[in-house]
Amino acid sequence: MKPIIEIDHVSRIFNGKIVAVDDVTLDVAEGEFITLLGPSGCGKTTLLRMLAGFEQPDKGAVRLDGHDVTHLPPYRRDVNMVFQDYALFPHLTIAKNVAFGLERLRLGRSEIGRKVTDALALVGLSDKADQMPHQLSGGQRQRVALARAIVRQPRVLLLDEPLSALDANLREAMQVELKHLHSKLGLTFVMVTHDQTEALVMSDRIVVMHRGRIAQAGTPSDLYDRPETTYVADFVGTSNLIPCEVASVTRDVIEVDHNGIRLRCPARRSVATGQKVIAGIRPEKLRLVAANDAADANMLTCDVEERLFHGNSIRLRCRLPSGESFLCDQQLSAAAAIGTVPEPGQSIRLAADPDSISLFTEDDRA
Amino acid sequence: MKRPRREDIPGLVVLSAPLLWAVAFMFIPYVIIFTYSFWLKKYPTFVPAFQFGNYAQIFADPQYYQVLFRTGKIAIFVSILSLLMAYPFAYFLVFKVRSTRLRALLYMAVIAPLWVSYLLRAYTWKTILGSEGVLNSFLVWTGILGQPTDVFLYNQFSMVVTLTYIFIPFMVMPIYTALEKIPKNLVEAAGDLGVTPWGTLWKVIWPLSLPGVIAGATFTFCLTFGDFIAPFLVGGPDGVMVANVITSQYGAALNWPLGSALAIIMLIIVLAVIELSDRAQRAGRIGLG
Repeated sequence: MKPIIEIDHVSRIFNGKIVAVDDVTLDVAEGEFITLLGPSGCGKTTLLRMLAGFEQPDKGAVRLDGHDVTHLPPYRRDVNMVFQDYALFPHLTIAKNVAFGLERLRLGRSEIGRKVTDALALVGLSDKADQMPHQLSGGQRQRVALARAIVRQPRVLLLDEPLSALDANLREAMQVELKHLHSKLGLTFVMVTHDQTEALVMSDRIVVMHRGRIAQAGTPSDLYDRPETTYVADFVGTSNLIPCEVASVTRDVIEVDHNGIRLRCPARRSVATGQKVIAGIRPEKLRLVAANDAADANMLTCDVEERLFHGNSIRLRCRLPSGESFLCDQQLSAAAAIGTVPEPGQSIRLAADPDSISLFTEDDRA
Repeated sequence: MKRPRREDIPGLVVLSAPLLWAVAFMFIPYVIIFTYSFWLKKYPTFVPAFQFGNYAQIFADPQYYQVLFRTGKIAIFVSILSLLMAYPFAYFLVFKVRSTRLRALLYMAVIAPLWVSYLLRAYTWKTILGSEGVLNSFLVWTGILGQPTDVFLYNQFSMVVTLTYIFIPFMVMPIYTALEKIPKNLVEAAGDLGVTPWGTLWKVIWPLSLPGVIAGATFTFCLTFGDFIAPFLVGGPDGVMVANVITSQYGAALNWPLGSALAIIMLIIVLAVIELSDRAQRAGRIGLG
């Protein structure tokens, strides 16, 4: 299928020196919910603004539904944006805010009225039509911004950190609501966020950006379970990144060594014996093993330094004999099964699921 | 009345100075003028009385009410001309000039004349518009005119030009402030919703900058309405304004009661304009929250 958005070798350089977006190429399929994820300054917002037409690429092209829109002004693009701080017109009522973008479409008055009513009903704000933006709560304003953008039935909906101004509970509810809206409308959503949880929950596909480039693009589970770089491993979720040396390579298994600790991992990439690598281990993929259990594969011993209570789980901040710090998350029910949660100062044994270990070479370091 | 408590005394002392100032130099003079406006003129001096003859004379004698109309007309023209020039300029500064240094420089260029003596600024236009002036020399030099003309000076046109030049900073400042307060993402949102830059100017920027426009129009109208130096320098017989008439009533005409009545009417007009502008501002603010 032809992609709805084609970003073709796009670069944006501010003031001739600050490279915000560096040769990014990305296709977005029709109906996809895609998220640009990264820390502030990674270029994700600049990329989104180039899709909206607020910024012009210095190199490359942007195509929308096959048409080159690279230098088209915002008002001539079939995309709409939900702004970070909503950007509602303070002098217009909610209904007029929503109708704002319809007045140019040469529709009849009654049709505009009907569309506005439908859009407000869709976001559950039918009773607020005649109020002014300042009379609404943050969550309600955010819905108005959403209604205003989707009422024009754009090909693509752009969302710039749409939930960042909401408090935690409301944000979670809105995540689900946005996802439902996406499947209901069948529109293409492009969202920008720095919140990895938000990206994992909502997206069909995540594009992790780092220093203006795409670090990795893939489904949420791809990114989480098969990170390609240490940067992605540590930005999407948390990873213990342990420097190792390859001890042996067979067809199925690579065995690496960290200061005497042997870790067996699946042979997903080609490495040579003796090569320096980094093993990435997710803290929650570690199993607490009783001291008297037989020595298993991928077993490591460490000292608990600190316990951080997270409600449903507990994070143990440990130190390996080599001095590397090491995180381990335990679900509280599982921890309770082996008796008690380890105390700081205690030595514990952990087993790592071989399939959950990712190997990175020095080239994958970011 | 409650006796002031000991800890209130410092506050009262601090407040008393400006309060005394206002009473001595504003309130009392107003009361005196108000009182005079009911007195009777009895050549060569005037006697205390309570009658409305002075006011009646102003509304009956064309030379007085016409000067009021003319002053109002000139003040309105000055406000409109200032707005027509100040708005595009402020818009350009806020939305088109990217460099903050250039923006500050251009803004200062508008404000700087305020530090130059008023008299000098008004006089400048005499040298530009006069029959020996810069404009005439230029037009003769280019051959557009065969010989210098005196149509530029000593009429209402020269009044409006001069007063606009003098008071335009008071229009630029509030409009600039109002435009600067408009979040840039509202402009982007309008574009995103398919509205052209002109549509955005009309439907988003203009309504949101109205408080600045109202403030600027109030300043320029009231300042022009009370002006008496520009008519004196560039106005000529056709450009006499109400303040000049008041001056002459207190001077050569020696009719303080009539001058006072005119002053009171002028004060009422200016206060009414300020009150109207204040109401419009407040009505706008309720909508904006």
